Amino acid sequence: MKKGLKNHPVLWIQGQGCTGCSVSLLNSVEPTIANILLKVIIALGTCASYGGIPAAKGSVTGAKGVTEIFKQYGIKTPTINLPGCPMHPDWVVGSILHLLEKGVPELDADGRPVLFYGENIHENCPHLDELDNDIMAKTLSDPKGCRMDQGCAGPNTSADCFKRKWNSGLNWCVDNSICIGCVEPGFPDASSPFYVAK
Amino acid sequence: MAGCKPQSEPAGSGKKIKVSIDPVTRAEGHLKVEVEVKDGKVVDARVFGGMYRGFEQILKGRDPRDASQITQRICGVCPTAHAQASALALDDAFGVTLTDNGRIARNLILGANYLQSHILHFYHLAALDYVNGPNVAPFIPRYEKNDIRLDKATNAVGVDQYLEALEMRKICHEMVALLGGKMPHVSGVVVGGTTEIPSASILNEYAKRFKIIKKFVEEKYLPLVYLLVGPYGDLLKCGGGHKNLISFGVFPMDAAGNTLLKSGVYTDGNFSKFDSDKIREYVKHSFFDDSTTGLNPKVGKTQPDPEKAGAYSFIKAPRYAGKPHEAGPLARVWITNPGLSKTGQQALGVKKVRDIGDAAFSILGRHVARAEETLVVATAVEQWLSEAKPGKETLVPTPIPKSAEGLGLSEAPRGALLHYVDIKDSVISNYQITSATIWNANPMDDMGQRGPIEKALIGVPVPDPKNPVNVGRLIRSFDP
Repeated sequence: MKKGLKNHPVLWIQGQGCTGCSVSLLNSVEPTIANILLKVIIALGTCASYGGIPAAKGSVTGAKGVTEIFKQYGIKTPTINLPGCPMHPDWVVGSILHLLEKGVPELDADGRPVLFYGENIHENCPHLDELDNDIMAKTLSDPKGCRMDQGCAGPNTSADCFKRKWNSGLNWCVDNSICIGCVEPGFPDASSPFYVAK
Repeated sequence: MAGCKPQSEPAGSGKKIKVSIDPVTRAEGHLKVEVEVKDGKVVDARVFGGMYRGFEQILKGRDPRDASQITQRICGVCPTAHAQASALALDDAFGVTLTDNGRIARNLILGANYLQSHILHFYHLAALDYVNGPNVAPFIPRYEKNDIRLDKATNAVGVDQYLEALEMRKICHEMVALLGGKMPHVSGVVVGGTTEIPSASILNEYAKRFKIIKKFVEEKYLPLVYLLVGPYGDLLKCGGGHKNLISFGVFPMDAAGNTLLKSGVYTDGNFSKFDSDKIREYVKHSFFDDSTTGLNPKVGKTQPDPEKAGAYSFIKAPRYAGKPHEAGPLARVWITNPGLSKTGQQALGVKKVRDIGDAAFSILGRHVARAEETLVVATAVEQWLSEAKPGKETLVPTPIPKSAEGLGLSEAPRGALLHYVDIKDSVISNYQITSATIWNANPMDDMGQRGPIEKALIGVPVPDPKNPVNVGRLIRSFDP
């Protein structure tokens, strides 16, 4: 790995992931990835951050997140977790820019930049007013109403999807269906079964 | 290319030279290949799938509806295909028939990602086998003698399109997200249909983006693929493999299950109707318990045995009627036999896919098939856009059955995809997935037959074992 770093400013290591995080990063609008010197380890996506689906209940492979492995081997290199299944491209590009310009961003107790993961989805949800007026979505395709009866994990999930949205700001899980809590350390077991009211 | 370790034996010496490529770069997942080269040609090949994640174990005991979310995480390049196959398996188990709008919305989601996946594969995974990137990272390091045969001007066109294609694939993802919520990993495909009822404005946004993509496919992607036929004509003559093909069919056109790209099988030159009961998965050379070999996925078991002697891959070896079959765009268009694009007709002087004949079964033939299929799907997307009804329901909510089984047959951009679910006490008691790359990148089976990529590697020219360019070209032609 040291030899690799001599020739390459960035090492992109894919473990048990599905390439989704790499593909998501390709959706970055501005700026593009270039000339980045690696001083910290960035755990991209929920698998690398906390184990995610490969480490879910039933797993037989012993898959683990980077932080846990570092703890196990006494590795002290600072880690930034950018969970999400996949993570949003802006969270990666924004964190790297922050690293270059201002250093390590402020992290929450789960190692995530507060800048992107500091706000609760439910508390900021555009459907919150509807909940206050007892308007609940009756099915997953109901465009109106709070999605909590459908299993939405928004109340237990912190990320800025509600304002950043996805794919050039076109849509996001809650307007389309429900949040399944994919940025949380307990994903997927903490929110599965996904379609049952929590 | 990282990990290429040829031994320093001159070619043509009559000796066997072992060449190992690990990992195979510019592939969608994790893959290693070892070939033996003698007198400038591959004489033996083994393809290694080194990663096991155990999705089938992870799915056990869960709410069946979670499967369409969890199985998407098998592949970030084609999550919509797993969403589709999983939802079809659940539709079958739950006994639900989709609304027309639900079926069409699923097609628009899957179709947009077909366009994305094929564009990404050709430009960002395969094109650097034929076009030189700029002399900066990540385009270097590369093979010293990489056999790029384009003149400077044509090469520059290729590089420009490589960059333009990054934008194109992003636009395709936007199309998916408009109906699917986000991409990769859509929230919108569930048992019973989709969750986003398309509004007129959503369909309009989708159509606006689609126009850009269709133009790119017609004016850039197809012409560039056919432009390669000139300088790389010899690559239409090698890498054929078993020449057996399988397609489960994809993009339902009606409630009866007729599909745009047809299901069918092509074995030893003969066409036959596809019957899922004829699939068996063998594990003699795979890291799975020997007692589980030869099973149909409906009674399939996935019991890893990572220390097993004689095994070299975590990929099982699926066989149809006892024989290895190649899956993917070549299989689908050969079985469906659509008319070629105007560009294709001009370049090859023939009208339909099967008129290409034996040349279709080759390294470049697979790229031609993929590009032609992109246009077939784009043309169908146009039709679905005109059929989608703004505001009409896309979902049929259905309760979880206490006990049921379901089979979901579909096609990922890279090949035939099977999901099977068995539900007991309203939770998943068994879930089996035979994914696309499993059909192509599998190891030798119990009968001693090589997997499709292994077989296709035999005979591929490797004049210079230090630069085994054609090995990479062959593997990537399958889009593993």
